[in-house]
Amino acid sequence: MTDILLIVFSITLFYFAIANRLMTYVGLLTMQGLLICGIAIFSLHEMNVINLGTILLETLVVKAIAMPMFIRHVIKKNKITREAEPSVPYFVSLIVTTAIVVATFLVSRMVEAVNLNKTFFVVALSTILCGLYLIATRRKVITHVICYVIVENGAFILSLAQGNEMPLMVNLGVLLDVLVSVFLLAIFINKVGDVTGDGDVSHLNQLKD
Amino acid sequence: MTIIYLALAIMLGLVQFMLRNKSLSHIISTLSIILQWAFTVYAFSASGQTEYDFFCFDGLALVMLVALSIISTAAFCHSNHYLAADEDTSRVRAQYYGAMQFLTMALTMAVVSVHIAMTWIFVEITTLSASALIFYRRNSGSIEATWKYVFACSISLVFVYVGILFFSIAMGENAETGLTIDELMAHASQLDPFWLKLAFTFILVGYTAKMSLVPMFTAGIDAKDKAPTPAAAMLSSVVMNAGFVGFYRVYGVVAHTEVKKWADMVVLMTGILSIFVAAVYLVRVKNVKRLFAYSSVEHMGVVMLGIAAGGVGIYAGILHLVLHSFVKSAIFMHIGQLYRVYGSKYVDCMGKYLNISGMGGTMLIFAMLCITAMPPSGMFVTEFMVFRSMIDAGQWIVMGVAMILLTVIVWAIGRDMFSILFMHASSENSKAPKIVSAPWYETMFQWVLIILSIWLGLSTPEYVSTLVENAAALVG
Repeated sequence: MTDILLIVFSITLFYFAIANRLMTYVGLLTMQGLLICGIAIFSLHEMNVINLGTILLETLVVKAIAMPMFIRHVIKKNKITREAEPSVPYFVSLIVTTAIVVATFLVSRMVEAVNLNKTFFVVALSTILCGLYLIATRRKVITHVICYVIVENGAFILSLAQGNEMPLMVNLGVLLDVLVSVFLLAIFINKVGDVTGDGDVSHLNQLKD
Repeated sequence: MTIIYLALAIMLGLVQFMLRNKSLSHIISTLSIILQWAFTVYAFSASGQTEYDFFCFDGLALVMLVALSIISTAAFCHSNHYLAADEDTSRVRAQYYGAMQFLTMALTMAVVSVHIAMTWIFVEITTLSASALIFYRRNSGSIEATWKYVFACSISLVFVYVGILFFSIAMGENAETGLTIDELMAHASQLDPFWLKLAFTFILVGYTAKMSLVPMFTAGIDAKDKAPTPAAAMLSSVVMNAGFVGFYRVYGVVAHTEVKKWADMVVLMTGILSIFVAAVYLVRVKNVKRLFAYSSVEHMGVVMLGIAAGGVGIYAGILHLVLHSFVKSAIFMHIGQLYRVYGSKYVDCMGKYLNISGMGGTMLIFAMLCITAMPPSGMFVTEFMVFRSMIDAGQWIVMGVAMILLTVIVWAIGRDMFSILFMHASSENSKAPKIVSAPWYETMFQWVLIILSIWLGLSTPEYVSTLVENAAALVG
């Protein structure tokens, strides 16, 4: 069951590569949040109830509900245009995403680790790399935040891969989520919108040498 | 005791956030300084001990803690005068002092943590508190700098997080014993080389954002440019040190494995590339704050060269880092004064500084000598030792390249500083300089920091060299 959820999760990455509306991005984030919640339920069965409860609550409330809601609110409030406006064609993004997934798959074939589930590793690493690629090729500040959340989701899946042995690391991942994405990045976007008028990151390039 | 410090420091920070009264803010700042020094004294009395498995007062922690306490004291005092010149609201001031207190607390905890995940948490908190400081001016420039800083640091910290996860994979069946440095050292020989390499790369890349090294140095440059000068002084000294501690403890573990040679190569590349990037930018930068921000990239590069060379280079690298943090914070505090005189941060808007302010000009001359590692700078000695260790390690070519680049850097900084000190302002935009007197404590702190860096380098007292030797011994 975990494998199916992980595969569905990696399919969302391909959808991210070709999606052209911001609301689709937000929808995909919700979906990723739900999938991670599902993955956590099926993979962390050895963990104690309180710890597992916290993690499920966090993935469900923060990742699947609060964050997409907040980003949607920011998009509406700052009247950000609906298009994602990538700086490369969607087709290229799709090819790159495919290349990343295939490459991580091949890498995983080469490595050995006693305490690591390979499927988790492939999905996590390709999510992190795709997230970074999307950050590099999308122009708006708001899409950067969305892609940062993707990178973070990848890191979270990696922590789930060995969550039964390392509950501390999973909890730290939760901490990272709550501290950075909700508390700061999202609040800060409001301020950027106030000053620059829209959420276009091309306004944030005044500081240079 | 560490927990008591943590609780008190958080409490003081929260109180600062809520206060709207200026004199009360100053009183709480004084309490913060007293708390910081009390903890430092305690750390020395408990030297070598480990608390709650997570915190240890070893040589590295102590030497960085003293540097942090000295610089944060200077930064708090400097802030008083800096903020007084602004017509800011009480809310902005409260946020500034609160963030400053949280930053000091997080840095303290980061340098005494010996659990790699614990260090990571506190470094994360430095990002959040530092961003509140960078945001101080609330204009489009500071928003951009804050945004970039938060974003780049958050991405970097995700890298570190992933690196820590790889570390636990490398631990294999020993993963359940935990990720304290002692445990990792104990199992060093059993760590899986592939995962170790991956973990080391991720952690190094992640911490470069804090250490101002290639590849993630850019965020720090904008932040140091736009942050208020006392905050910039912290960002370009003690925040870099905290990033270094995070990296160095992990490097210490890697150095006990078969991966050491490979890791040294990576560190060497990072070091030399950083010096190269710094040299390229320093030649063309005209903004004094950015100039010295790039100079931090260079010095951190030199530290990395020392670490990669091994032997005496590690000792020299750590001492270099400490001396650099003293000089650099003094310089950033002095830039605050320069700005008050000229109303600009650009080199071509400044001129004849020695005529306008004799004391300030003399200070700038000494600062320039120290930062370019010219005698009598203490950093001259440490840089010399770094190069000697590179010769011992047989890294002749890299050393030659580094020396050429450093010469370019000395020329670039010298050109701009001489222009400020002796030439007339060349820009049409330059305003008539204002004669402003700096309060005695500001001048005093700058001189104390400069003299400390000279003294500690030229005749390192035995207790200081023992501490640094202890820190260097982590690599073994």
